[in-house]
Amino acid sequence: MDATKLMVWIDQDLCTGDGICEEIAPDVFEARDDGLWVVKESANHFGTAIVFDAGEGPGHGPEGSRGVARVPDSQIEDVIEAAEECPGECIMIEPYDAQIMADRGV
Amino acid sequence: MIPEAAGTLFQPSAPRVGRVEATKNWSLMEHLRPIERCVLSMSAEGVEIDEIAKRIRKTPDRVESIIAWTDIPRSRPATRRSPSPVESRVLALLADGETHERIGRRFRRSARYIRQVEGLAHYRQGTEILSRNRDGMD
Repeated sequence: MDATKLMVWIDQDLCTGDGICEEIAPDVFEARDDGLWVVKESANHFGTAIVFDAGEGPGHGPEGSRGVARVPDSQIEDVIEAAEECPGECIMIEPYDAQIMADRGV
Repeated sequence: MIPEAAGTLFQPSAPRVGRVEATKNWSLMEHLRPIERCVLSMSAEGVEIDEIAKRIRKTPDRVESIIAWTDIPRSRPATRRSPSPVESRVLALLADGETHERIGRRFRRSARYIRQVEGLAHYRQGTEILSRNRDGMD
């Protein structure tokens, strides 16, 4: 499992749906059916894939501020670039917090 | 939306970061992206956050985030030979028939800025091809 110092989430209320984030960091961002983007944890980094798209069942997690994904250390540069390039300024980066991770419910 | 679950360090609600110290060693900033160096440089010169935001067409909250993110250790320099994702996206949208004006509105930038991005993307494509050809001849 990859080391992680950061977490990331998307405020879907601000997402403009341009998808630049996924082009920059496809391991961390993914398009949802409604044309908005969500964060995810990829199996190749964390063993289990979780998409924070408010979907039901295993492999899905909450969206918005509760849908916080761990950022693999190898992806830090790309995630920062994605946040800085995001036209909607909707990508939020935070330092890793075990309590928030526990509150995700996944 | 105010994040009730989120932390505070990089959040807009966190206290405003102060002006970046003018004593920062700029030779150590080479790993940062151009926009990050630009924001740090303006902040060190004493430009207010609101003014920086206006100049780079971001919100003050995002400018503060960008300054905070410069403290995150990076594992590689932000150098790029091929077109960046934004440049690729601009080229793709233009190829799809979008105008510079419409793309500018989507990206909250001027049409002139989009033309600059397009020009830079073509330049990078050219240098990438030249470099590939050179590598192939070695």
